[in-house]
Amino acid sequence: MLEGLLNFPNMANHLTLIGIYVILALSLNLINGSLGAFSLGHNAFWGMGAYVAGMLIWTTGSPEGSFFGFVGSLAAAMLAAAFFGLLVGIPCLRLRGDYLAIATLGFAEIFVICARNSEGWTVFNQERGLGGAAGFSLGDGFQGGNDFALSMTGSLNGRYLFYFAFTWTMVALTFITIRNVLRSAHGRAIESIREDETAAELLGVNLTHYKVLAFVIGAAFAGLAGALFANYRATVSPSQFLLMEGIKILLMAVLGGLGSMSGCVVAVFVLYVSEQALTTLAMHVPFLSFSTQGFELVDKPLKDLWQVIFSIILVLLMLLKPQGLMGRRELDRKYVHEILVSWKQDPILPSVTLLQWLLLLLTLALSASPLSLLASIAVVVGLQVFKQKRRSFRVAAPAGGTQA
Amino acid sequence: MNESETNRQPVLSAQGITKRFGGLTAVDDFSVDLQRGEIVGLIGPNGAGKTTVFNLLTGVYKPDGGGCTLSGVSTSKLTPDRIVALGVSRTFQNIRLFKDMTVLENVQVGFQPIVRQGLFGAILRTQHFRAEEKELERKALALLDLMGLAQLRDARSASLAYGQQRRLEIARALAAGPKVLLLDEPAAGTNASESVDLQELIRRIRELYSLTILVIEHDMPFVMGLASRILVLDHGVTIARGTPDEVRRDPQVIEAYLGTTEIGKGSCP
Repeated sequence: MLEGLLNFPNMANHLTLIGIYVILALSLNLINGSLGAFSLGHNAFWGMGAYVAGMLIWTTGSPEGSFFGFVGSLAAAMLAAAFFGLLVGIPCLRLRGDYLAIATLGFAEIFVICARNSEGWTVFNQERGLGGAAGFSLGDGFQGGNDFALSMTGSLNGRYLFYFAFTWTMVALTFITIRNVLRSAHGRAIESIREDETAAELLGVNLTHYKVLAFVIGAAFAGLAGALFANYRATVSPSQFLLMEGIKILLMAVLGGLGSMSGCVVAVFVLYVSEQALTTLAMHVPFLSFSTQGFELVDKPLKDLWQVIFSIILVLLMLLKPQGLMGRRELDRKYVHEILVSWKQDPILPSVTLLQWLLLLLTLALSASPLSLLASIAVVVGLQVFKQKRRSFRVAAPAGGTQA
Repeated sequence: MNESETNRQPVLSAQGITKRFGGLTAVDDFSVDLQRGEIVGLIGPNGAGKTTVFNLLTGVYKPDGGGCTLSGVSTSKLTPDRIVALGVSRTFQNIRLFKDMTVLENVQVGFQPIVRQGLFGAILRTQHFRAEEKELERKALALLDLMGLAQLRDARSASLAYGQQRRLEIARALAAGPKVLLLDEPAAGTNASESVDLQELIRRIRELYSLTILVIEHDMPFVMGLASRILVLDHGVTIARGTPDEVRRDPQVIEAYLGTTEIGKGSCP
């Protein structure tokens, strides 16, 4: 697992994809965390950006590609996604809570279904339209073709490096832009809507304006992520932007803590790396299988069950930390200071937590038998009990009990 | 106070506003003229329609009949945020602070009708943007200082004590630079000495910001001591209006609201 993650092009590849997910999670966080509107359709804005950028490169690009074509496709994708966000936002944002979620979900499905049935859209391409369910490829992708990054750097490794650097520049741009919006009168208006719509309106906040604004900014950056994704992968197909992807982005925003931008970035890393780690597990576990002959236990590679494990981890995290990893805090000097202070007061609790995670991950990744897994889980649970005991002890005797 | 001078144009005027919810007439033919600088009390038993009047004046509800004007401009068709921009601010009966935002941010949201910064100015942090933000922070701190909340500027507003939350709501309402301030039960949950301080505070902000104030209150000594005129609502109908003394003696009011005459006798100056 480790050598797969750590060699150069793989590492750059993963970091580029993580960067794209960070842009997506940050932009969704603006809508779901700061505005407090529960949108489920982020995959559609992402896909919209990818399709627009991909289509532009595909239909107008030259074989060697050009810088303006590349940057132009990003800008066009942002604009198109923002416009799409405006179209969806104006009717949908009249709704609240679950109703808004369902309406945005509906729009996202419309997008995916349109993309899947786009062979007939011959305005874009005489023979194949927008490629239908199979999608299309931007030139010949990695082999050359309309690939600006490849022709500029001259090698595949150069291409990886370019996309890694460019994506993270865009991540920084997204982060700073959204943070600057939030730290202004516009951002305060958006957050006041999350806190109390009625009070916000009676303080002069134009609800429609700020709801649509947050929605459009979020959609635009999702479009940017889509354009990066299309250019990087050099292929675009509907299956890349399914509802499951939208939910994954939502998980990243929720896990980080709705309203916390740095929490979002941390959560993307956590989710992406655990997903990658789980899909490369070596361990086999006995798994119940049904057939007409009856029940039997079969050995199954644990990595086939990665989605089950992934989901269990998520359920546990939400049960233990419903406000997300960071709540609404940001990873600033104050936060680091507080962590250092609590570490000084009692270094044992956080070290035990760290130990638990390490133990679990290492057993999952390295051990080959379910027995060692069970043993490791038993140790983790034991450590949890120890933590509880210690915590209640500290609460009972906060003054003398710390360093005794 | 020269409330006798009635030939001036009223700041806020409601003419025969009526609001029905299904078969129930919550407010029936309510009229009031608020003259510049006066404090008017609005009293009545629970469910009399006082808060509905506030909601009609601030545009939360559209009246089924009649209309409101602010300095001669009709506000009946405007959305609440437009009406605030024209100069009517309010507080809420059940406190509605932005709980997860800081005390300072709560007041800063109140500046919404007067901010001029553009979105791109905010993103690029232009000179103009930074100057405005600095100015807004200074004004917000001045308001907090007036309310005695300046040292709590970075506290989460939900962590404030009850009386502090009430005062923060007033500070937030003042941020937009209103002409008319509507206070919905500002003295609810305060003890006798706090309520005297609050009277002082309300008089002071009236002077400082040349406000016209309409106040809903259940605390009789409080409202009788503060208001120069009082309107009494019962079941949506205005059953009496006049000076605190007149209202206190009005037999209809005594019957409908005060019940016994003892309540009114108390501590009015």
